[in-house]
Amino acid sequence: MDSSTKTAPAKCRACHRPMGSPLFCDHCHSLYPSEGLNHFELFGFPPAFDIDPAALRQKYLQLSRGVHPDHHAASPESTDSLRLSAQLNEAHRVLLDPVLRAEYLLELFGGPAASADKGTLEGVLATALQLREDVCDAQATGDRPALDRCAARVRQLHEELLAGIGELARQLPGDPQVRRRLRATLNSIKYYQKLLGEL
Amino acid sequence: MAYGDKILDHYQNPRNVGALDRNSENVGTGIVGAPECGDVLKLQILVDENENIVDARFKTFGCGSAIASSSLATEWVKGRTLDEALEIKNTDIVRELALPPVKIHCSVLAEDAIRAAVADLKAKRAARAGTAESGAGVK
Repeated sequence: MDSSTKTAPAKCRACHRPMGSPLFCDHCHSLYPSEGLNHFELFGFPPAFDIDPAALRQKYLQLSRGVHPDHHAASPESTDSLRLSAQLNEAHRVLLDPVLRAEYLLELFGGPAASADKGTLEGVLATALQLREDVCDAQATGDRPALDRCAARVRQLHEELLAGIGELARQLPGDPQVRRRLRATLNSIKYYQKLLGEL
Repeated sequence: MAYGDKILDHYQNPRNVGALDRNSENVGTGIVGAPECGDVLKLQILVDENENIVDARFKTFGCGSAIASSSLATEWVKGRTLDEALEIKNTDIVRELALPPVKIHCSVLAEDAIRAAVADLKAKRAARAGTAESGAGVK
């Protein structure tokens, strides 16, 4: 919670009453452009992997109402309102999804970025390739039970990597080794996500 | 997006699809992937006693450009030595297939796969040389 109080002005510049959110004044509805606020700061959450989904949803709804373009349509703040709403939607999308959230946290703590490090966990590429071949064979022959076995295996591998991502992301900022391992796990899960999407 | 004739040809009639025996001493296998899109590509090369690549196979699970790039790569490596194969650059593939900018990473994948296959073969050779040496008591 520190991160929000750090960036939110203590008092509204317009009505001089205490500010409850970094984005807008609860009293006079003045908007505060959130330049430089990261997704966690936007919601007033500490930059950590574990997030209470109910708290995220509640905060998202509350903030969305405050900055909603409908309330600021005719004012000079309409552009800010649109931009803040878009930013909130994007932040909510990222924080809601554990893989995107871990990806974002890793970026906040200095990477490595996906573009800089394409490494995967040992054996993942070969396993993904094999599973692809098995899926293709099963589809070609219409072997439903084999296809179900493939799907179950992919889901299991996906779950395992997801658990690994959580474990590593909770150690952030961590040492470079932890961050590289998280990068490799995040890269690896993409191959199973793709497979799941096709099954 | 409009694709050129060459890319469509390689996509619709991919050359050298399949697999070689990955445990053979004369086969190098490269498996690479692009985490951005989840594509996976396996490229294998077979060499003769003079280190000339005499055959190549690939299996690619990905988009049409990735399939076309790997198909072209298997055609190009045949008849080359290992070192000559490493001279194939992704930009050559981009030019030949007229790949659009958003598909350049597919050609990078194909180049990476050639490198990985050559590296795998060289590692096998080095391991064999190592065993031969230690077997002869030189080490």
